[in-house]
Amino acid sequence: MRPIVWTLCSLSVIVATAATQSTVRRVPLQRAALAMVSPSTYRMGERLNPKTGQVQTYDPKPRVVTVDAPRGLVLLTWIGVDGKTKTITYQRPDAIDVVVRADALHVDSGTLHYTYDLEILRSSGEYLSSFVVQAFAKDLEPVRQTALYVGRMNAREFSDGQWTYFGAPESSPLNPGRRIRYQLRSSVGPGLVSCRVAGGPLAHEGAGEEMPAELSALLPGYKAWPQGYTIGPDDRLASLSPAQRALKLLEWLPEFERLGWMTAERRRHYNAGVRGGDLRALATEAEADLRAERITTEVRAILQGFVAALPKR
Amino acid sequence: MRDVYARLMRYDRAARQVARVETGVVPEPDAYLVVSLRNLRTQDVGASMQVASPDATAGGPRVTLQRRAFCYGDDPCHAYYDAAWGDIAGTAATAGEARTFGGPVMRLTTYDVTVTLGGQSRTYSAQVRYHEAGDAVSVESEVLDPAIPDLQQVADDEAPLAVAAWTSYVKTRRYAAVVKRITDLRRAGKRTVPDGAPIGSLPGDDVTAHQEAMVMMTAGEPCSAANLQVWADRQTLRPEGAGTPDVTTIHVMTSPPTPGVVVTLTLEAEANSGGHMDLYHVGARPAGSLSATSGTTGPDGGFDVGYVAPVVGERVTVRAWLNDKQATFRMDIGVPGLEELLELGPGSFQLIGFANTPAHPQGTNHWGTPYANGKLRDIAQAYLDAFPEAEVLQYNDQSLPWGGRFDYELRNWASGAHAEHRLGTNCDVDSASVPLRRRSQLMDIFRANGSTDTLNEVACCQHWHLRF
Repeated sequence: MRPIVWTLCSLSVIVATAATQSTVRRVPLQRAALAMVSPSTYRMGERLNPKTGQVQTYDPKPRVVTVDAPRGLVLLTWIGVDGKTKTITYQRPDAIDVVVRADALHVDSGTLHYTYDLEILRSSGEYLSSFVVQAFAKDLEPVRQTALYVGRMNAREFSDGQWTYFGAPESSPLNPGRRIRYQLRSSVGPGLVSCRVAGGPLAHEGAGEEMPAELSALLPGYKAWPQGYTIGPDDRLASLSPAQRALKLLEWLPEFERLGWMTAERRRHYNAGVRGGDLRALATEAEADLRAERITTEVRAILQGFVAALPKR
Repeated sequence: MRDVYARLMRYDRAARQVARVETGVVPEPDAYLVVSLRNLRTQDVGASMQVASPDATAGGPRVTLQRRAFCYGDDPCHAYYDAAWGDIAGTAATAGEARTFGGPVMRLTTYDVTVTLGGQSRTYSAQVRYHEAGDAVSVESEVLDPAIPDLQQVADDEAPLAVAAWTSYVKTRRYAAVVKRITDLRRAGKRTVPDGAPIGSLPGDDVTAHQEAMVMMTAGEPCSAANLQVWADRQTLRPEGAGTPDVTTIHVMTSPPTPGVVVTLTLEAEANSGGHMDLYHVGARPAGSLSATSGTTGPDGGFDVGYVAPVVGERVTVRAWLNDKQATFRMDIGVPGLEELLELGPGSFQLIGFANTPAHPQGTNHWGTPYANGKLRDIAQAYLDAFPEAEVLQYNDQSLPWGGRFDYELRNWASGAHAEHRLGTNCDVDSASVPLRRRSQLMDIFRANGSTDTLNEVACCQHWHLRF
C-alpha cells in the first residue's frame, strides 16, 4: 500500500510542477527573516532604594521569548524598577503572507485606474493592517475608502518616490483568507515599483514602564515589513526613448518570471519579441496570454503602457 | 515672540536663585513665572490696514517686573527680573524709558498668553508688531502684552543672566569668558545673541568650554594654575546609555613636568544644566565617574585616567588639584543635534507636560531630532486632514535639551517612567483629547509617519509612546 501512496504523491508533485510551468502564479511578498534574540550584553538598571535613599543598580534581565513563531508572537520581558517582571507582547509585523494582484486600466481619457487586490493567504499568522505602494507621479491620487485611513507614507525608509499608505478597516479585520482592494489614480503609465505590507496591531500594549534600551533596539520597525513588487505610476519611464524602453523591458522580463507574473516559455518568447522590435504585436498577444494565464495583469498593463508611449504610426 | 517670554522666564528663575542664596529660603515650586503661548497667528499688514491693540484696559492682574543687575567694575552688568503680581502703577515706575517705534507695521502676530505665578494664572491676548526699521531693511519687534507691560524692556535687554552667589561667580572662568565674549562681540559691532541661537538665549550663553578654558584669568582668581593642566580627549560626550562616545581619557600634566607628585581629581556637574532643575530633584546630581580620583605623575610629569559620562545630559567640570593649584576642564554631556519642537501656529498641535513639573520646566521637555520633530508636525497635520473638526493633538514629553535620562516622575536622576526619551526620538501623545472612534486611524497616521512600533500606554498613562 505504501509504495502506491508514494507513487501517487510523486505523480501529483510532477503534475503540479508542470502546471506551475504552464500557468502563472504570483509569489507572495517576501518576509525579511529578521531574528529577535535576547540581548547578550545590557546595562544594569538603576533604582532608588526607598530605605537608604541611595541609587542602586539591579539586573533588569531583558529577554526575548518567542511564544508562537507562526503568529509572530514574541514576549519582551524585563525586571522593572519596582522589582516586578514586566512583559510586552510584541507581534511581529512580518508573520503574514500576502499576494498582490495589480492592474492598470484606463477609466477616462488620460487617467489610469490602478487596482491592488490583496489576498491574505491562509498561511498567515495574523491579519493585514497596512499596505504601502510606491509610485513616481506628481498627480497621484489615492482612492479614499470610508472607515480606513489612506494617506502619504512619510518615513525616511520610504523616501524613494511617493508612497501611499492604506490602512485596514478596524471593524472587519483582514484575517487570513480574506481579500481587499486598494486603488490609485494617475495619468502616468505603469512601471515596476515596490510594495510592502504589515500585519498585526498598529500599536503594542505597554507595561507601565518603558523597556530597557537593549530591548527597544531589537524592535525591527519597517525593516520587518514583507516586501515585493507590483506595478504603479512611474513617470521615470516617460523620458526613455523607444530603444531604452525595450532595454528596460528586457531587464524586467526575468524579474516578471521570478515574481510569477510570466511563465518561462513566455519570458523567452517576449524576450525574442522585444529584441525583434515589435511591442505592438506583443501587446496584442498579451491579451491571449492573459486569458491563458501565461502572463498576469501586471505584465499586460506594463506592455500596454509601453505601447501607448510609442510614436504614432 | 517666544524668545522674549523664554528670556523672561530665565531672568525670573535667576531672581529666585538670587533670593534663595540671599535668604536661604527655598522657593516654592509655584514661585516661578511660567508663560505658555497658544493660537499664534501671523499676518502681513497692508498700508491701509488698521491694527487694533490688545485691550490694555481689560480687567485682570498684571505682572510687574523689577529689573536688578549685578555689576563688577566696567564689565557688562548681569541682570535678573523679579516678577510679581501687582498693579499698573507699580509697573510704570519700573518701566524706564518707553521705546518708540516710528516705522510702519509690516507684520502682526497675535497670540493667547497664559501667565502663571505664585499659584495664580491669567489668560489673555497679546501681539507683536513688526515695524520697518529706519534702514528699510531690518525689522523692529514691538511686544504688546497687556498683562506684562514691561515685556518690551526684556526684549531690548542685552544683559547676561545674573548668577548667584555673585561674589563667587565673578571669580570664575565662566564669568571671565562671558564678559570677554560679550565685549568682543560689541567691539565687532555684532549681536551679542547670535542669529540662530536657541529660543530664550541670552548674551554669553554661547560661551564654549574651550573659550572658558582659554580665557585669561585676572589676578587673584583662584583657579589659576600655571603649572597644572587638565584636559580630555573629547570635550563633548554622549550621556551613558545614549550612544557613543560616552567615555574619554582625562590627561593631567604638570608644567614644568614634575614626576612623583599626587594630583587629586574631582567632578562637578553644573547645576540646572541639561534641562534638570536641581532644586526639584532628589539626591546628588551625577557627574560621571573617573577610573581614579587621584594619581601620581609619571616620568613625563603627568598621568591619565578614564572618564565615563553620567546618564543625564549636563555640563561637567573636571578639576585637578595640586596643593593650592587648580586646573579645570569642562565637558558638555549631551546628545548632539536636538532641536526644540515649537508650536507653529493655530491649529497645529499643543505642547503639554510642563505644568507643575519644575524639575523639568517649560522649554526643556520638547526636544527631539530634526527628523522626529518633522514627523510630529506631519502627524499633527495628517490628523487634522483626516479629522478637520478634531481638537489638535497634544504632545507630552519628548527629550530634554541635551538628551540623556529624562528622570520624569521620581526626579532622582536614576529612574522613572521614561526609560526611553533619551535620544530625541520619542514623544508621548496624549490620548485624552482623541475620541475612541478616531484612535484606530490615528494609529495608522503614526505608522505612516515614521513611528512604527508605537507603544499603547493609554491604559496606564493616558498616552501613546511614539518611536521614530
